[in-house]
This record gives sequence, structure tokens and C-alpha cells, in this order.
Amino acid sequence: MNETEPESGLPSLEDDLRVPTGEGTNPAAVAAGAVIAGAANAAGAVFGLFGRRRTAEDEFEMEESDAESANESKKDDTALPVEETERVNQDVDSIPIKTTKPVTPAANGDAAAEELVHVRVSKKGARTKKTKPRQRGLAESLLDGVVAQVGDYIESSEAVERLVSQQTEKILRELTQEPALANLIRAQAEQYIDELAAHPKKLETLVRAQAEQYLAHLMQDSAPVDALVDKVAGNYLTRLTQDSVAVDALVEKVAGNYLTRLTQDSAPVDALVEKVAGNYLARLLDDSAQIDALVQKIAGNYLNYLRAHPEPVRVLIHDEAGAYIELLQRDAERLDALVTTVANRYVDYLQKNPAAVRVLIRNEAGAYLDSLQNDSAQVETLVQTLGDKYIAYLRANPAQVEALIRDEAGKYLAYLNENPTQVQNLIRAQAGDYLEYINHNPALIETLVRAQGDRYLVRLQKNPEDVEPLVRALADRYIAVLQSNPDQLMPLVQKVGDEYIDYLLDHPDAVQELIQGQSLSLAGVVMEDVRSRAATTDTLIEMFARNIFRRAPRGELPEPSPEVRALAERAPLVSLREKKKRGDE
Amino acid sequence: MKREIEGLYAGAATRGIAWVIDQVLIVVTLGVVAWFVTTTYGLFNIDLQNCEASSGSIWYYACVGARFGLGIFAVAFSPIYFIFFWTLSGQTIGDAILGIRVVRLDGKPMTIPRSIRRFIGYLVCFITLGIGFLLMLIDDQRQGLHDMLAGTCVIYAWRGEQDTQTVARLQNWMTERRRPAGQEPTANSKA
Repeated sequence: MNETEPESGLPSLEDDLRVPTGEGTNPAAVAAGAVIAGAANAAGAVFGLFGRRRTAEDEFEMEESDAESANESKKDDTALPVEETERVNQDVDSIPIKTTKPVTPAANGDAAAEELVHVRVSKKGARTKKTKPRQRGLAESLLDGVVAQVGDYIESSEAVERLVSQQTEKILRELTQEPALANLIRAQAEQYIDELAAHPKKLETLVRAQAEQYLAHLMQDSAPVDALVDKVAGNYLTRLTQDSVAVDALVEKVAGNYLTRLTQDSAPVDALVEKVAGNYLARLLDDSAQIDALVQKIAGNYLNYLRAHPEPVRVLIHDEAGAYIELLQRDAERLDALVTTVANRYVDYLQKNPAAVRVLIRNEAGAYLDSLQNDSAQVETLVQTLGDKYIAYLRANPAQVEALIRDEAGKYLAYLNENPTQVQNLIRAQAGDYLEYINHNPALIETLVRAQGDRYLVRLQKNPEDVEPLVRALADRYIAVLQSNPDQLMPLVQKVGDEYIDYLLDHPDAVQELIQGQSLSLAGVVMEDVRSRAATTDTLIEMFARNIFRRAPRGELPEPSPEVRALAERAPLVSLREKKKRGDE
Repeated sequence: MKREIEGLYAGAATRGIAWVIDQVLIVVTLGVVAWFVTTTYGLFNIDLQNCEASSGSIWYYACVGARFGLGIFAVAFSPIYFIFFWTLSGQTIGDAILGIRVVRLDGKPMTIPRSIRRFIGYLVCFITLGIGFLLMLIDDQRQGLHDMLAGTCVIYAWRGEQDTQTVARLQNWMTERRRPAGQEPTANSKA
């Protein structure tokens, strides 16, 4: 028996560090074990040389008697006294043995792999032997060096590291496929959850503490959080941008859920809205300048947009106005009530504020007059339209017109009869003003008269049927007056005739021109009449011819092309040279 | 009611009246020229209707020459008259009086060949006893055979108006005449 072997069957250090070597044994452990075993052997050899291994017990005994050593140790090298041996065995037995399974499970359930690794850790874990201090110090230093070398080798060896990592991965992989382990974890987790459920306060405290810690950490170092949030948000936005349909569906679903929930339980919403609106209004009331600026900015933006897009605005107004008008037409009573209310309110206001009314009228009238002066064509069209409508109405209702005129004229005449002096003064004043103004502005009067005369003549030329009855009525009235007063007529005729004759005698050229002009105009009138009748006859002859041939009367003839029609307006008298230039033949 | 007709296709009546005026002018011109030549020769005691009376002298040849010249003039005056005026302004004197103008369908100025073609079309219409002229009563562009041959049409060239009331009245009258007995008059015919 070797000196270094324990006597009481306890495993030696080599045994303690031994690992299962069967199939499926962890090679890393094997390698590590081999290295350590080698080191242990080397240490054993050293102990063999110098006695036995140094232990803590040795240290203790060394202190008691440094003198007794070598001889006794040589004598009782292999055996202790019985009492001592028993004591030691008892002490050894009292040391707890930590039993662990091998790091890697046996691959095929090999029995050898099931061997346990026993490690005894105690001050009394080894038998005491007394050695000389010198030897012990040498052995210790040697052992320390070997162990350090071994440790360095294990730490620095890439092969060992690779081996360990491979084996670790393998073990983990196998563990993940192990149902027993999964069941165990599940059971542990359930137990843990049950425990937590049974003690929610503990859990809450724990979670809070963890969350606070975590938040504190994040607040201290927000950069990683920001980077993470940026990255996640970026990824999320990229994905949403790429798949907008899904986003729409999600948003619709979420919004639908949210709206459903809000609809079902509107009280919190109302409260929230009231609170928010209240806060907002309070803030706005506190800072009206900011509101004004905001409103002005928004209104400005809005107006700019509307100015830049007149067509949509027009369509919008048209649609809105149409819808509004339709609504009002459907509900006439409501419209009447609305109009009455608004009008009454408006009238009340105007009656209470005559000055404001005056200013308003002045401003509006000024703006309106400016607008009319800038757009005279529109004014003319408007006046013509209104005038035509008015004339048409008056023509359609002559009795009403007559009654109106009679009433008005009767009122005026009655008033004038009652106040002849006032009338006379008024006429004088007005006439005086007018005459003075006319005397000072003859050019203006002439322009005005010409413009009115031209406009009136154009209108009369366009509507000769309006003029004819008027002229006839006036002529009839004059003739009637003259016929009823022959005494007045004859001197008038004589006077006018004498004046005309004197004028003709004084201006013979004018008379000649007049006669020529009259002749030409007469010829022109005749020619025009002939042309007009001939043009009418064209159509009549065609109708006759078609009637004779039992054909349907012709409708409107197609109009010639614009080029052909243009030839009717200008006389195509062109020189032959120019014809040659233009000619296509 | 009046309808402006400037630039529209002119019808048969207007064109017929213009043609009559042109013919009168041509005949008058021919008569005046013939009278002038005859009178001039008469001053020299030469009777153009009896050239043989002065046979054997130089006056005989002058008489025959004058008769031949008058004949050529009588034949050539009418085509020259029409071709000249159509080419110059699209209007003969009769057309100008009636306010109508001959124009090409493509709106380009009239040319001499086109005017010649139109005059030949005139002759063809006369040869067909005026049937070619009747086409203008049916055609939508109021073109006669001569217009079709020359690619021309005739338009009103004055700012005139047509009395549509008269036309409508006549149309109603014709509709009434064509309506079978017992059928109710339409709203238009009542009006």
C-alpha cells in the first residue's frame, strides 16, 4: 500500500477528482479530470518522497509538537494507533459528503456513467501525518506551482474552451429535448406561479422593486433605450409602410373597438372631453393673444389655400348651397320661421343702431360702386336683364301699371295742387342748380346725352316693334290735337314752312346733298326690300317644289364652313397677281 | 320674326332674279353695241343687213367684217361677262344687286379655270332643259349642276334677314292642305 493512500477507504484526492469515464462521459470533464489527476499523482509522488500529504490536521499537529516527527512517522507510517484511527474515522464520517451527479448524463444509461463524484471538504478531510516543516514547505510550493500551471492551462487552452462550449451546447440541446426536464421546469414554474398567486403582495413588491430598479437604470442611461426604441420604431414603421393594408385593417379594428367601447360607455368620454375642453378653454381665455395669432394664422392658411384652389371652393359652395336650398325648400315653414326670426333680429338691431347702419350702408355702397365701376360690362348686362324683366312684367300687367301710375301721379298731383308755392320754389331751385351745372359742364352734358341717345337708339333699332306703337300713339295724339285746333295749326304750319323755305334758299348745297342722299337711301331701301323678299322666296319656292314632289318640308339648311361664310363679309376683290400667289391650281 | 341670312346658301329665286338681271344687261349691252355699230356704219350709208349693196368696194369688206365682229361679240360676250365677274369678285352685276356671291366650297378665291368650268356647267344645264338648275331645290347646299361641276356654291353676301313668319305661315298652310280630312290640327299649325 502506498503511503499516500488513505487508510480508512476514503477516496484519495485522485479518487475525489475522478469523473466517470464510460461512454457518454463528458470529454471536457474527462480531460480536466485527467489533468487534475496527473497533478494529483505528481503531488502524491512528492508526498511519497517526503512522507504524506499536508493537511490542515498536519498543521494543527505541527504546532503541538514540532519535535516529534521523522522517526515516529517512519515507524508508524502505514498505521495509526487504534484510538487515533477510530477518532479520525469518526471525524471523517461526521464530515458531510456532497454528492453530485456527473456533469453530463450517460449517453446510453451506462452504469459507469452513473458513478458519483465524491468531494470531501473539511479541515478533517485527511488523515494527519507529521512531517518536517521544510519538506512540507517544499511540497506545498511544488503543489501550488503544479496546480497553478494546470489552472493556467485550462484557462488559456482554446481546445479546452472549445470542448467545453461544444459539450455545453450539446448538453443544453439534449436537455431541451428531455421531457422529464421540461415537466420538471413546468412543475417548478407552476409551483412558483401558485406561490406568487398566493402571495400577490410579495409579487407586487418584487415587481415594483425590479421595475423601479430597471427604470432608474434606464433613466440613468437612456441612450441604449433610445437606440432600442429608435430601432424598434424604425423597423415597425418600415413594416407598416410596406404593408399598409394590414395597418389599415389594424387601425380600423382598433378604432372600431375603441369606438364601440366609447359608445357603450360614453360617460368617461364625456367627462374626459369636458375636462380637456375646460382646460383648453381656460388656457385660451388666459392667453387670448396667442389664440388670436393662432386663429389668424390658421385663417390665413385657409384663405390662401382657398384662393389657390378656387374651383374646389366653387364646387363646394355650389354643392353646399344646393343642399341647403333643397333642405329649405322641403321645409318651407322652418325657412319662413328662420327668415322671420333673423330679419326681426336684424331689423331690431338696425333700429337700435342707426349710426352703424349709416356707416354700413356707406361702406357697402362704396364697395358696390367701386365694383360696378371696375366691371361695367357686368353692370350693363345686369341692368339690361333687370330692365327686360321689368319691361316684360309691365307689359304683362298693363292694368297694374296703369293703376300704379295713377295712384302715384294722383298723390303727387294732389300734393302739388295743395302746395303750388312750394312746388314752384322747388322747381326753381332744382332748375337753377341744374342749369348752373349744365352751363359749367357743357362737354359732360353732351357726352351724357350722346351716350344715352346712342344706347336708346340701339335699343330702338333692335326692337322696332316697341317704337312703332309709341310713335303712332304720339303722332295720333299730335294729329288729334292739331285737328281739334285748326286755328293754332295754320299759323304754326306757315311759320315752320317759311323757316324751312328760308333755310333751303340759304343752303342750296345742303338741299342737293339731302335729295341725293334721300335718293340713294331710297334705292338702298328698295334694293334691301327686294333682296329680303327674294331670300324669303327662295325658301318658299323650295317648299312648293317639295310639296309638288310630295316630299317632307326641309328643315334648317346646314351652315357653310366658316371659311365660306367669311367670304360673305369681305369683298374678295384681289389682284390677279395675288390670286396667282394664293391659287392652288 | 326675322332670321339673319348672311353667309348662308342662296336659293333658286334670288339666283334666278340675278341671272335675269344679268341677261337683261347682256342683251342691252349687245343691243347698244349693235345699235352703235349700225348707226356708225349708217353714217357712211352702209347697211349692215345688206352688205351686197356695196359689193366691189372696200365698204363691202368693212360691212362683212363688222357683221362678223358683231357675231363673235354676241357669242363671246356672255361667257366673258360671267367668267370675268366670277373670277374678279364672285359677283356679276345681277349677283351684286341681289347680294349674292359665288364662292368655292373650300373658301379659296375663284380662278379662271374654275369659272370656265362653271360656265360650261351652265351650258350643260341649259342643254338638259334646266334640270341641272332644279338640283338646287333639293341639294342641301343649294348647288346646281354647274356648281357641282365647278366645286362652288352661292351664298348671301349682305346683312339681310329672312321673313320667317311668312315662311312659317306658308308651311302651316301646306301642312293643313296635306292633312287628311278629320285629323286634328297640330299645335304648330294652330299657332
